[in-house]
Amino acid sequence: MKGTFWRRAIRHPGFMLGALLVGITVAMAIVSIVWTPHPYDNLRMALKLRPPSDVYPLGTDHRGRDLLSRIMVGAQTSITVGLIAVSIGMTLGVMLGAWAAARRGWVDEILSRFSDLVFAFPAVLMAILITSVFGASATNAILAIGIFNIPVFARVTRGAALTMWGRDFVRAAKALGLGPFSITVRHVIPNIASVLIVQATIQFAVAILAEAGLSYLGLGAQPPVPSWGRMLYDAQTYLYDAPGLAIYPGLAIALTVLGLNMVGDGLRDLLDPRLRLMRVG
Amino acid sequence: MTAVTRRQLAGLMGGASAAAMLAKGAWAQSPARAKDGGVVIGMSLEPPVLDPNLNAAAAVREVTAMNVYESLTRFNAKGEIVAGLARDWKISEEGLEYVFNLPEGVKYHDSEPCTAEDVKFTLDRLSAADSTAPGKSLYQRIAATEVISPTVVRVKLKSPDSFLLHSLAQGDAGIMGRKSAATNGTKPIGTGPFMFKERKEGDSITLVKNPAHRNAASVKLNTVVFKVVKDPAAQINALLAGDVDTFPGFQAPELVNRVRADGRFAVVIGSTEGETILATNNAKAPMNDLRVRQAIAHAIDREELIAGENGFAIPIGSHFAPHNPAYVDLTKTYPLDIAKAKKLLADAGHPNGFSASLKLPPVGYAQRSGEIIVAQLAKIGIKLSITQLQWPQWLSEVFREKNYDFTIVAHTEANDLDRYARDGYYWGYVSQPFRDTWAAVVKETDAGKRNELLKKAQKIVADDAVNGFLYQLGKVGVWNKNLLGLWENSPSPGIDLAAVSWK
Amino acid sequence: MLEFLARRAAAALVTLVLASVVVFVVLEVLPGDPAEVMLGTEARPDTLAALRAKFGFDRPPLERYVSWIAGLTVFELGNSHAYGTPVAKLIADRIVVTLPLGLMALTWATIVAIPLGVFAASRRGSPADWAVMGFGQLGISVPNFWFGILLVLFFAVSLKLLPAGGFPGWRTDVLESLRSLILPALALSLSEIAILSRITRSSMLDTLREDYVRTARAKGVPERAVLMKHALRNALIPIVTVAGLLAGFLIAGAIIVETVFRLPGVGQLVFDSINNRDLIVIKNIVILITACVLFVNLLIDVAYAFLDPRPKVSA
Repeated sequence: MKGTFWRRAIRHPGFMLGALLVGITVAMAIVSIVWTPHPYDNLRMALKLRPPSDVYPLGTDHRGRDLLSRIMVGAQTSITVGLIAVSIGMTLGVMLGAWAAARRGWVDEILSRFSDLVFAFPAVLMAILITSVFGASATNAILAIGIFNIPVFARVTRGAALTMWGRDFVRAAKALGLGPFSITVRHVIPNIASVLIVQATIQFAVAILAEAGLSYLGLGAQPPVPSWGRMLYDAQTYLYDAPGLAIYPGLAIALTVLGLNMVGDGLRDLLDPRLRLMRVG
Repeated sequence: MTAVTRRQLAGLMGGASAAAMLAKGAWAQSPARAKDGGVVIGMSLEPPVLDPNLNAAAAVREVTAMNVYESLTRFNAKGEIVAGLARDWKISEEGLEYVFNLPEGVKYHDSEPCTAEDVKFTLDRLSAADSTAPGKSLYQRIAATEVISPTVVRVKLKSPDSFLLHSLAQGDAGIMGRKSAATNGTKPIGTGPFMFKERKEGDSITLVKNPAHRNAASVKLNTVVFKVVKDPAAQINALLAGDVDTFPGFQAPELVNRVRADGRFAVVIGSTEGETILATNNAKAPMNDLRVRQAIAHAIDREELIAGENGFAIPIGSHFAPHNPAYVDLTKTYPLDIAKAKKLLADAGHPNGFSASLKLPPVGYAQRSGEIIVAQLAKIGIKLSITQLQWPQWLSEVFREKNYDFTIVAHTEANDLDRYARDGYYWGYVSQPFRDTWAAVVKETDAGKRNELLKKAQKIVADDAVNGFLYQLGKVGVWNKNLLGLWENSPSPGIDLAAVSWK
Repeated sequence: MLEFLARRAAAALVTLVLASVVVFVVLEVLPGDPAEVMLGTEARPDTLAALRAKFGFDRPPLERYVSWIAGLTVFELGNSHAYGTPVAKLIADRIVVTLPLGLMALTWATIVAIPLGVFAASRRGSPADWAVMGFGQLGISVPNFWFGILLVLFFAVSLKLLPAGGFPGWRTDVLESLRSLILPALALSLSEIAILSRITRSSMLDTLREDYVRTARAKGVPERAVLMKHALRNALIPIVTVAGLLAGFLIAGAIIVETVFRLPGVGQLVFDSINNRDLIVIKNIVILITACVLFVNLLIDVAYAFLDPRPKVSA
C-alpha cells in the first residue's frame, strides 16, 4: 500500500512541485538554525538599504541586515507558528468533532453553535483583540490562529465520522458492546485519517497566511526575530529606495503557501479524490 | 521569474526617477490653494475630543492651542513666555498672587463675550477638587481664582510656583466659555484667531479665519485643514503628491533625503522638549543595583542610536533639554566602554548578564531605537526581548502598574525633571538628595540661582544612571519652501497659525 | 419548511447573543481604558477615578452589558469616547468607503472568475484548463496585502498611474475617490477570483454531466448555447452561494488591505478604536459585522430551502 502511494505520488506533478516548494522552505528553516550567510540580527546602520551584491545576495534592509539571512530565519517563524497553531486546532477540533459525532444530541448542537460563532466572527478582528489582551507575541499569534482552526477540524471530523458511524463494521463493533470512546479511537479515527491529513495540509497553508497578516499588523513575532509579514510592513516605507525588500519576503510567503496548497490537493487526489474539505481564511 | 521582475523593476524605477528629475523644476511651486490663503497641515496622530482642558493628547493642542483657544500666557517661536489672552500681569513680592489684565471686548466665536468670569471658570475646571483635567497636577498650587472686574482676574497660590506662567502657557489652559465648554469636545469654541468649521473623524479637521479677532488684520491664512496621515510611507506620498503642504512633525527621519531631493520642500531640524530615555524600573532587581545601571549606561552607544534617527537628534547625558539655559553636558558621565560595563555587571553578580523585557510604545523612535538597544546591550550579555504595546497597554501596564523592566519613551513635557522627585513614578527612583534639590528649585525665584540648582539636579540623575539617557528628539519640520512662519522648534505642542503665510 | 427557517433564524440569534457576550468579556479584560488614554501620563489617580465614573465604568458589568444590548435593540449605539461623536455617525462615515470597496472587489471578481471558470470547464484537461486551475492555486496562495504592495509598486511608484494610498472623500472629488479604490479592490479580489473560478469550473463540470445537457447537445444545440443557457444557469446556484459567503470574508480582508492603502474604512476604524480603547465603538462594530455575516448565511439557507426542497440536516 505504502509503495503504491509513493509510486503514484512521483507521477503526480502538482504534488511533486508542491513538495519541492515546501521542501525548500523547510530546508531554509533548518539550515538557518545552524548557518545563515550573515547574522540575521546584526545592525549596521552604515550598510542600510544596500542593493543586491555578491556579499548580500538580496541586499540589506533598513538597518543594514542581510535580507537573505532574515528570510531564511523568517521561515522558522512561519513554520513554527503554522505548525503549532494547526496542531492545537487539530487536536481540539478532532476531539470535539469525534465527540459530537459519537454523542449527537446536545453535544452536537453546542458544537455547531460554537462553530457558527467562530465562523461568523471577523477572524482578523478577533485575533487583533486577543493579541491586545495578552500582548503581541508569536505565542499569542499561535493561540489566535489555533482557536480559529478548532471549528474547521471539528466540522470536517464530525462530517466524516458521521459517515463512519453508519458503516457496517462500526455497527458490528457496537453490537459487540464496544463503547463510543473505543469505537471512535479504534475504528472511526483511523478511517478518517486521510481527510484529516489533507485538511491539515491546507490549514497549514492558511495558518502561514494568517501569521503573515498578523505580523504585518505588528501582532506576530516581535523584533528582532524576523517574520515575513513584518518585513513587508517595514519595506513599505522604502518602496522607492529598495523595492526588493517588498518583493522577496512576499515571494517567500506565496511560494510556501502555494507549495502547501499543491501538496494538499495532491494528497487528496492520491488518498481519496471524493474528500470534502473546507477552506476558511 | 525573480530576476526578470527585478530587472524590469529596476528599469521602471530608473525611468521614473528620470521623469521626476525633469518635473522637479527650478523653484518650489505653491499649490493652487495658496492663492486663497489655504493650507493643508499633515498630522501624524489624530486628535481625539478637541478639548485640551480635558484631554491629554498632544495632537489636540496642535490643532487648538493658540489657534482656537487662547491661554493667558503663551510661548513665542523662541520658547519664551509672552502675553497671550492676558495683556499683562503683575506678580506679588512673595510670589503668591498673580493679577492678570485682559483686553476689552474679546468675544468667543459664538459671539459671547469673554471675561474674567471665564478665566475663573477655566482655571477652576483645571484645578478644582472634582476636576477631571489631565493637567491637574500642573495647576495644583492654585488656591483660588478671583474675579476683580470683567477684565481683571487674580490667581492666588498655596505656595510659590516659579513654573506657573509656563503652566498657564500650555495648551491645557486654553480659556473656554462657560456656555460652550461642555460641547467643546466636538464643537470647539474659543477666542482665538481661527474658528472650527468641520471635522471628518479619522481624516481631517478644518479651521477658518476668525474675522472678529483683535489681531485679524495680521492673520494671512483663510482656511486651514489638518489632515491625519499616520504612516511614514503615506506621509511621503502625501507630500510628494501635493496633498499636504507641511508636516510640522515629520515621522520618518529615514525618508528625509527623499523629501529634500524633491526640491519643493524645506526640511528644518529643530529641537523638542522630548528627552528620549531607556526608562528603567529602578525598583526591580537587578536594575535596582546602581552598578547594573552604570553598566547599561556604559554600553549605550548614542552615536549609533542617533544614526538610527538619521542624525536628527542630540545626545543627552541626563533628563534635560540641551537648548535650555540651565543645561549642562553630562554625556561623558558614563562613556561608551564595553569592558568596563562587563566588569560592573560582573561586580554586581551578573558576569553572564541577564534577561529582561523591553516594552515599546507604538511610536517611530521607540521602534527604531528599540532594536538598536537590544543589539547594544546584547554585547554585555543583557538579553532583552521586545514586546510592542499599543498606547493604552503601555499606559496601563508600564506606566501605571510598573510591570516592566525597560521601555523607551520620550518625555515631551517641558521642565519635567521634577518626575524624579515624585512618589510612585514608574521608574521607582527614590533619592532624598534629589528631592531636596528639587524642592529648592521650585521655591527659588532668582533665575541665576535656580539654574545652578537645576544643574545640580541634572547631575544627581545622571550619576545615579536612573535611566539610559539617549537623545533629545529632533523635530523634523517639512514644509513647502513658499510657506513662511512655521516654527522651527517645538517648546510646547502647538502650531501658531496666525504667524503662517504664503510667499 | 417554515420550521426549518425558524430553527435557522433562532440559531443565528443565539450565535449573535453568544458573540455579544464574547466581545463584552474580551473588552472587560482588555488592558487600558479610554479614561487612561484621555488623561495621559500626568493624570492623578483621583482624576482617573472621576472620569471612569463619568463614563459609567464603575457600574457592575452585568448592568453595563444589559444597557448596551438594550441600546442596540433600538439602534442607540451611544457616543465614541475618543471623538465624542455618535458611533452611528462614525460607522456611517466609514461604510461609504468599505462598502464600495467590497462591491468593487466582488463585482470585479465575478466578472473575471465566471467566464474563466466556464472557459476552463468547457476545455477540461486542456492547457487552458490547467492554466486556470494553476492561477486559482496561485490566487489563494498570495497574501492580499502583499499583492496590494506589488500593485502600489507597479501602478503607483513606477508607472504613477494610480494613487499609492489615501482617500480624498466622495464630497471632495468623486473621480479621484474612485481611482483610489481601484488598487485596493484589485488586491482584495485576487483570492476571490481564484476561489470563484474554481467553484464555477467544478459546478459547470457537474451540470455538464447532467442528462438535459447531453440531450441539448444531441439535439444539435450549438456548444455556446449549451454552455451559457443550459449549463451555466444551473451551475449558478453554488456560485452565488460562494459569492455570498465571500462577501463576509471581504470585510475581514478589508482590515488589512485598508491598512496597506491607508483607506479610512470600517477596518481602519476598528483598528484605531482598539488602539485608542474606544470600547464603545469596538463592541458595536464587531456586533454589526457579525450580524451582517449571520444574515448573509441565513439568506443563503433560505435560498437553498426554496431551491432545494429535500429535507435538510444542519450543515
